[in-house]
Amino acid sequence: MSVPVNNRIVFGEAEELMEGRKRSQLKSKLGQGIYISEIHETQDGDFVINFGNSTPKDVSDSRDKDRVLQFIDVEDIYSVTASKQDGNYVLELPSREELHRGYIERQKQILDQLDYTTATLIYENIFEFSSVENQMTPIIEIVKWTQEDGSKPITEIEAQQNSDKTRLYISTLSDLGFLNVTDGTIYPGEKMQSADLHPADRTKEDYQKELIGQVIKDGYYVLRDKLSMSMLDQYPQLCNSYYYTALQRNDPNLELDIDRIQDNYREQYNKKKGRNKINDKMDRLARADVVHKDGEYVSSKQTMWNDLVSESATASI
Amino acid sequence: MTITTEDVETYEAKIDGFATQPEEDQCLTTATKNVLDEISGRRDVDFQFSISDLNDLCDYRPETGQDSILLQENLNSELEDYGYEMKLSRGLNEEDLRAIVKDDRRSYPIASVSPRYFDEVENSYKPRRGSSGDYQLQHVLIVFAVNSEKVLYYDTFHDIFERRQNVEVEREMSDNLFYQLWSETGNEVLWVQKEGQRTLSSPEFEG
Repeated sequence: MSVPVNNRIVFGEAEELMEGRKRSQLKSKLGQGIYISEIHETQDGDFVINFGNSTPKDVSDSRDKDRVLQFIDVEDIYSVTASKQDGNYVLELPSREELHRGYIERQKQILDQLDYTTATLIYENIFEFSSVENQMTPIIEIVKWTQEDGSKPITEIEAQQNSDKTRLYISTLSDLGFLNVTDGTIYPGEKMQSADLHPADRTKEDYQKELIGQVIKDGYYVLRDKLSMSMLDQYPQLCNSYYYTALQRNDPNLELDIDRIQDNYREQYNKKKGRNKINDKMDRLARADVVHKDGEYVSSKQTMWNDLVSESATASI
Repeated sequence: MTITTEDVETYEAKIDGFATQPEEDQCLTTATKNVLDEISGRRDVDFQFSISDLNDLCDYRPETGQDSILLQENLNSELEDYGYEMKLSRGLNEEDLRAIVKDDRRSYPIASVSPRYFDEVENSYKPRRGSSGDYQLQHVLIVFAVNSEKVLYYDTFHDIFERRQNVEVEREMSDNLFYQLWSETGNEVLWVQKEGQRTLSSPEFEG
């Protein structure tokens, strides 16, 4: 029997699509890892079919070489509705391009969410890395000066920072609720005065550090994408070139060597970084207690692992 | 009747020259590359297809696998010049599979197997289910011998682990288990052959 090449599958019961020949037919046309993640019937009697994608990934431990092949399932990459025609349901198959695009978008969402979580978790650990501090300095100054002086004319901040981005930083902090702007003067916003952030027994430095941490948490995407603060991305991405695989394998003791971390960085983020650079940055992250490193081998830091697992519980990693 | 020493010797000689799988989701094109190279050497035709060429022919997109129907359609346009063709059929039986293996003018067959195959490979590598709770990937195996007790096959995943060191890999399974896993895909098979061959035993087989 030759295989039909048209783009529709006819079925009587929804379960038929989940197994046997019809499932195989679907995979031959759409890709071997494409599967139906959910089917539900609408009030009109149609079926809404959600597709997922499963891809194998070598997540072997670099030291033990234990040959573990983890399947990574990403659900809800695309959905179609199958309607009844002449007594049977007709599923018009999406194109591979549509499914691939849906998969890439979902995958990006998952990684983005993980990077965001990581950025908020590691901020205090990497705050004093000079590259991070340098990029965050204008934001830190605005927050610090406003908090110390109670109010500040925008022109004064502009003059001191000598940057054409000062107004952009101020309007962002204002939009995020950290500043109020009235008649060209900035005042502490609601969040800056929050009791949670400002207990009496905290030092000024700790308060400011935590306040900046809160700014990152509430404004990560704006700071990263609209203010081009690439450092917010870089260290979380390096971190997750290890942790993403460890989470997928659900193994905090997984050890990955620098070569594997370099591969992951390239594959996950489509970015290249030299092996020595990656090694140096992993050393810094290890000194900052974000990862554990033993020579070439990187593994989890238990507190970081616990926080990531609890924060990522709903992220379908 | 079990797999013979001769079967195993042939298997070992053949897989020694097989290409390794460059990415985890390129089993179909890696298997195709290997059967094309094998028949090319045996039949003295000069197929020159890299895995990358085959990926282009099947619209490979990283991590969303490969399209066997498109691979067959597009590869046939290329094989035509050589007087060869790729066949993709469902509904074959084991007698057909045996006939393909034994026919010198045909490549070794690439059989699709149900995702449940991964429950059976613990001795070779350690697959782990994804968040859906089941294996979802339909894998392919190159079949070298089929008899009433055993099937001798090559699993391209054996070569994806970069640091493998002389690990004994699974290469045989019982005929019944293979038949079950293969049947769950509708007995789907791909192979390459001289154009125009139409004689296999199954009544469903159209060549």
